[in-house]
Amino acid sequence: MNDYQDEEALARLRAADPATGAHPDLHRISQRLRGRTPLGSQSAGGYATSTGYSFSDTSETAVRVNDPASRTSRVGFVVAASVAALAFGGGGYVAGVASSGDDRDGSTTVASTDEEQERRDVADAAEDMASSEDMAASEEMAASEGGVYGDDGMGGGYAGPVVPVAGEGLSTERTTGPVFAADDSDGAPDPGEVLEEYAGALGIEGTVESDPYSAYVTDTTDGRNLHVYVQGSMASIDYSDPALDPYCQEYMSEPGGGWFGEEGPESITCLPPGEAPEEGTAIALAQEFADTLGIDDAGYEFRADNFDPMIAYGEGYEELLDESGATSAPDADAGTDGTGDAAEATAVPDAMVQDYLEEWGSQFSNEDVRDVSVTAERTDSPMPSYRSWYFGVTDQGVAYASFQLGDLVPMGDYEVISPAEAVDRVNDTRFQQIGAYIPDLEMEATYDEDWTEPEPLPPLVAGEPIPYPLSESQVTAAELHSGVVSLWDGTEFVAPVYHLTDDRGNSWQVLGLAEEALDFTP
Amino acid sequence: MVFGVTEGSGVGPPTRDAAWFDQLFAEHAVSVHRYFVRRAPRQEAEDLVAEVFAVAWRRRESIPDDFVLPWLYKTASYVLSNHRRKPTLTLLADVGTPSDERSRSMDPADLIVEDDDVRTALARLSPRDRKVLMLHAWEGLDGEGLAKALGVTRGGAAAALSRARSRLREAWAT
Repeated sequence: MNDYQDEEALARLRAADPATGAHPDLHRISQRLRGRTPLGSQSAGGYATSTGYSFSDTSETAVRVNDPASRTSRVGFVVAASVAALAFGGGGYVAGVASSGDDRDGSTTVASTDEEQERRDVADAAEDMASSEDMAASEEMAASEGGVYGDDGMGGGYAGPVVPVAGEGLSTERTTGPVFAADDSDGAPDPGEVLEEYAGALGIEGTVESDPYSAYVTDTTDGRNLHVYVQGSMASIDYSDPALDPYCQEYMSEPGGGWFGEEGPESITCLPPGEAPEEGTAIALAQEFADTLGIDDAGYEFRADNFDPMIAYGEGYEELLDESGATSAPDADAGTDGTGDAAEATAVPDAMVQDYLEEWGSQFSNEDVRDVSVTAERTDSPMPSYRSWYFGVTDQGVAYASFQLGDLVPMGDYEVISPAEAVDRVNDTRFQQIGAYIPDLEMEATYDEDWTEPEPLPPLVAGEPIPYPLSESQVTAAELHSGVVSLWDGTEFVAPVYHLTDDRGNSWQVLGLAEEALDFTP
Repeated sequence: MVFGVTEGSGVGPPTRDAAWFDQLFAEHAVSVHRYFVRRAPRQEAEDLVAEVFAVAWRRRESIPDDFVLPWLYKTASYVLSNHRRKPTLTLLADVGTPSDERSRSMDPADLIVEDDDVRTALARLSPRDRKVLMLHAWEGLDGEGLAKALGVTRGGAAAALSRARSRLREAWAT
């Protein structure tokens, strides 16, 4: 029962990912969506016959970018962004899918044999049947499109890696930028000692499990638990009180719920929360909790984030409940000649909408939300959102708390390469195997408006060079941000990181520090 | 903190039009597909992916800009549970396949994970703990993204993950 086991279990769970290497047939999925969405309709207006879109396969990277040793939550946040960090560092792949291809499209690949064509026709006919049985919208469109979809087995077709080259407008001037790192002046704290101090303050009694990097304890009576993780001089503290958890009763009633480990209680008494506390009350409770632990919150700015279904589910979530009444008769043009407004086509009454409402309508409610998230950010930090604190607060008190302790101190200004050099660095493998990300850009997605369908590749010819398409793209803008760099042992520092973009929707992030500022000693 | 810009691009948030949807699909189809591969019979994954994106288009104005993928995962969880509860839904994958051969309740702890130790440990956890751990370990969700995918507050998600990790640790050790 130590952190190694925790990491081994998680690492093994990650390694057991059944989706490793899985890749969908995007073409087939896009066929499923024809008539129900405007997917691929851009290239010729209305509902085009030949489509293409940029494609970033970020999932492989996503799993790997998530450092199992990270305790800051930030790494996973990047993963959720899906486009950030290493997805770009890996080379900014852009790919197209030779989608669609019905009988109006003479340019797309056709079946290579009669047998294949027959198989596809059968599949297409079957799909039409399936659609007509259960998907009203699909029925409309599938019938209108003749049911012959063409190159069903083609799958996705990469246009090849995009190699960035510096555009003429990019500066070749170097600059300098600040670096921040953990304050190691007091040395690394002992996790067991840190844990005992805070556990004592909270009255948590139990057997402390510890190793050089972490410590953990569960109260033998009430199940409250405390984790301390240490990385150099930085420490993170995680606390949770299962009795105050808004889902306590739900957990306890589940099979396997209410299990708090060998050292923990066999069961606990839940303290069901009442109404979610007011923001001011929630903040006061969070501050009181920090004070109980003896953690100084001077310089931190607290804010409360009441659960807002508008944020969680997006604008218009309430309208969902009216969606069945809002749907209208199908647009006569949509789907009949293949050029109608696909957006209109989606207004067709859809059995799936009814299912959606019946099954999920209750999900779009905040009646069950009984806790408030409180965030505390250090205002004088070079990146306030980095290493911030989080609390889950009910009217009964703090159910969860996470502190990031230790100061980032300025290391001085270091030389930073020019934007033009940064583009070269994107193609330098030495800078592609260590994650550098820009928290401020975590959720920014690329947007490729001018995608054009790549030409089909020529057939392979014996003895001739094998097609291996590459393309170059001019980087037209370079922004220098503060970013976080994580080294192999979990050490993190804040340094200048470039965010490079071209005019095709590609972007790359790369460390901005000049080689002179780096020590390459293994 | 931006402290230097060369030729800023100044691109604003995209409108929710067909081009935006193309990009949404291109960007996230693989991730959503893998979500289903992890939780459902593989032959059904593509149909389920299509359902998620059909919902995404229908509800495009509802998708938070900053949490597109968590929103898709949350929708995927609805699609999956809906699919499990309504096994009569006829999908292309079922054509020519006796319906009783379909796995209607595919629990990764039972059927998909091949690592015996992992499967044994997962089996000791509650379904909710498993859900949280899989979103964390496989979809790579954490923090706000995890919260959005679960439909709870960030604090609630962090607590759920902390608890799930504690229980996984205990389950692993015993």
